[in-house]
Amino acid sequence: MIQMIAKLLKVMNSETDPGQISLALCLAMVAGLTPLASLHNLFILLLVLLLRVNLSAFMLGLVFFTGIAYLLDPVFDRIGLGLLSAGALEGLWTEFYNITLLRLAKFNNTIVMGSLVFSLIAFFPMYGLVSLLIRRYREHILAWIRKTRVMQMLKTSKLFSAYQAVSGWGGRS
Amino acid sequence: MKKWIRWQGLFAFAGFSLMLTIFWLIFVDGIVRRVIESYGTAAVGAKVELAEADLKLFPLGLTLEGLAVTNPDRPMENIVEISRTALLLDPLQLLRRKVTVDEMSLTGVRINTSRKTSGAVKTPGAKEIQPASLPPPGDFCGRISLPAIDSLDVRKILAEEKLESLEMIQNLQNELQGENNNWQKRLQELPGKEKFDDYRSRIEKLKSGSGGLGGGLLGSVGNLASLQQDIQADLDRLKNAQKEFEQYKAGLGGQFQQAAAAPLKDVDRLKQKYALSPQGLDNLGKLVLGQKVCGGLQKAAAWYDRVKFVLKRPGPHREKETQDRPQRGAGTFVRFKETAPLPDFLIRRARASFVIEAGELSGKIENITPDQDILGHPLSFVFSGEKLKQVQMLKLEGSLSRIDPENPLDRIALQLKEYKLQNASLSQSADLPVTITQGVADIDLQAKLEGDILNGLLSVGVKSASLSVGEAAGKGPVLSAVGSALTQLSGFTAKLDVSGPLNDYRIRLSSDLDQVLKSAAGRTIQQQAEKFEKELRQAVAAKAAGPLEGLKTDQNALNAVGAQLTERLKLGTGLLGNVKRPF
Repeated sequence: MIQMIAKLLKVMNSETDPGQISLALCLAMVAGLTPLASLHNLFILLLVLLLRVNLSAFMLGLVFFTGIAYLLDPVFDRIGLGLLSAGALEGLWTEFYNITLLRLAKFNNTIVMGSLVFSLIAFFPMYGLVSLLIRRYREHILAWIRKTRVMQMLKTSKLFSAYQAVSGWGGRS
Repeated sequence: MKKWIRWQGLFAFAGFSLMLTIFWLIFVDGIVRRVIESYGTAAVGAKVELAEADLKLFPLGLTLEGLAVTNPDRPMENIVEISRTALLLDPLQLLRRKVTVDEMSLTGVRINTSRKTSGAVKTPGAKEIQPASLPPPGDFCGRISLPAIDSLDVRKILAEEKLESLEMIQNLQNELQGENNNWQKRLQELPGKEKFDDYRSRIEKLKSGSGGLGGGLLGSVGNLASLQQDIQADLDRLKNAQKEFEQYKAGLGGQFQQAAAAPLKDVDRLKQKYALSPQGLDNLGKLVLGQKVCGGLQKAAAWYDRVKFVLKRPGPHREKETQDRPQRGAGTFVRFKETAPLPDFLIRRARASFVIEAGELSGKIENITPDQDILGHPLSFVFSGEKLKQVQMLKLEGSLSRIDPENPLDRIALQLKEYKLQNASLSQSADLPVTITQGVADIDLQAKLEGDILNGLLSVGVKSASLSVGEAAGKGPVLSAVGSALTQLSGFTAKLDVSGPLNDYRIRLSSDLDQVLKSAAGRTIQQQAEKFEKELRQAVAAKAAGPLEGLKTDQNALNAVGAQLTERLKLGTGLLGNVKRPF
C-alpha cells in the first residue's frame, strides 16, 4: 500500500498527463462503488488495461471507493429502487429484463443500478475536477515544495542521490 | 492515439481471463459440492452429504455421486440416498439466473437407509420437527383397543370414576339446606300464632266493650277498622311469602326429577365407556384393522409433508416484489414481466429408479418447481414396477397442482396387484395381536386433496390368507371368540373412506370382518355387556341411595315450611272473618 502511495506521488510529481491519472481514478470509482462481481466491471478492467491509465492510481482508487461504497449502499439502494420502479421507465426495464446479457449484468438489482448510475453521472465531473486539481497541485504546491530550503538541502545530499538511484525517484513513469 | 492505447493491455486482459477460467475449472466442482451440501443442510435441517460433483460445460450438465439426505427426525437414518444424479442444464436460462434442468436422471434411489454417523445438525437454520399436517382423527384412532369386557370390575371402575349423579345430588342438597335456613328466618319474621293470638284477644276486648278508651261505640268501630287493616296487612305478607315459596318449589321440581334420574345416566355413561355398544358390535373390524389404518395415515401424512417441500417457495415471489431491508451490499432484485416467463427453478423431467424391498421401481416426475403458477403445469409423477419379487404389478401416479396457489389440488392413485404378504402385522394391540402369516393382497387407493378438503378411498382385498392371533387373545371368552373367528378366515375385504377438512376429517371403515366377528363374538359380548350393566346399575344405586335419602329429608323440611305458611294463612283468614262479623 505504501509502495502504491509512493508510486502515485511519483506519478503526481512527474510529467504524466493528468488525464491518465484522473481517468484511472474515475474508472476506479465505477468499479469500486458498484458491486465488484458485476459484469460491467470486467469491461472496466479491460479499459484499465487497454487504455494508458495509471494503474497505481486505479488500484488506490479502487480500495478507496470500495470502502466508501458500503457506507453509500443505502443511498444506492434508494436510487436504484427509485429508477427501477419509475413508471415512465417500466417499458425500458422490461425490454432490458428480457435481454440475457443485461440480466447477467444484474441491472435489475437496486444497488447495482443505483451505484452504476451514480458513478456514471459523477464520471465526467470527477474527471474534470481531478485533472484540474492535479494541474493546480503541480503548478503551485509542488513548485513551492521544490523551492523550500529543506528540499534544496535534501536534493544536494548524498543520501537523496542514493535513494534516487535505488528507487528511480524523479524519473518518468 | 498511441498516447492513450496500451495494446499489451489486451494480452494482460486475456491472461487474466484465462487464469480466471482455469481457476474456475479446477475449483468449481468442489465449490458446487460444498454449495449443495450447505444449502441442502440448511433446507432439510439435517446433514446433506455429497461424495462428488462434476460440472461439465459442453453440454452444460452436472453429475452428483453419492447424495445422502439425513432424516431430520431420525438422524441415524437417511430419508433418501441416491447413487447417481445426472442433470442436463439449460445454459441460456442459467445466464438469466434461472436454474432449468431439462433432464434429470436418478439412479439407485434408496429410501430410509441407515447411517454410520449421526446426521443431526445444530444450526440456527435447522428445521424444528413439525408434526405431520394430517393428524389422524381422535374419534377413530383415539381408542382402537377392544374394551376389556372380559375383565370388567365394577368396584374398580367406580373407585376410579367420578359419579356425576352424586355431585348433582350433593349440590341440590346444599341448595336445599341453604333455602331451608332462609325460610326458617323468614318464618320468624312473618306473623305467627302468637301474633294472631294477640289479634284474637284484642277482638275479644273490643267485642266485650272494654277495648275503647271511653270513645263509646264510635271509638270501638274506629279501633276495629284499624285492627282489620293490621290483620289484612299481615295476611298480605303471608300470601306474598307463600307465593314466592310456591314459585321456588315449582322450580325445584325439575331438579328433583333430574337428581332422581342421575344415577341411571351414570350407568349409561359408564356402560358406553367400558362396554361395547351396539354400534361397536357393528364395527368389530376396526379392532383388527384400525391400528394399521391410523399408522398408515400418519405415514402418508409424513410423506406428503416431505413431497410438498419441493413445492415450497424459498421466499416472497411476485412481479416487481421488493424486500423492505436489503442485505448490505446485496440489494434487491426487482422483477419485470418476462416475454416467455419461466420459474427460477425448474426440473422439467426427472427419471428415477427406486430400489425397494420388492425390487426396482422406475418412473418419472415432471415439472418440479415451486412456481407452478408461472409454468402453468402441475407436478406429475408416474412410477411402476412389474414382476417384482413380492408384487405382480405396482403403479403409483399422481399430481400436485399449485397452478392456482389459492386452490391447490393434489391427487394420488396407487394400485398393487398380487402383493404377497408374509408375517404382516395387522394389529399389535395387547388385546388382539393379529398377523397375516401369509396371503395375497390387491390394493387400490384413490385420494384427492382439494384445498383442505380430503377425499380418499382405499380398497383392500386379501385372499389365500392364514391369520394368527397372539396369546393375549386367550384372556377371556370374548377375545377367545374373536381370535378363533380370525384364525378360521381365509380372506377378507376392507374399504376405507376418508373425507372432510384436514383438521376434522372422518374415517369410515367397512369390512366383511365386521359381520364375521359379530356373528362369532356378538352373542358373548352381548351377554357380558348385560351382566356388566346389571352389576353397574346395582352398584351405582347403592352408592346414590344415601345421598338420595338425605335429599328426601331436606325436601320434607322444605315442605314443612310450606305447611307452616298455609297454617298461618288459615289462622289469619279465620280471624279476619271474626272481625267482619257484626257484634
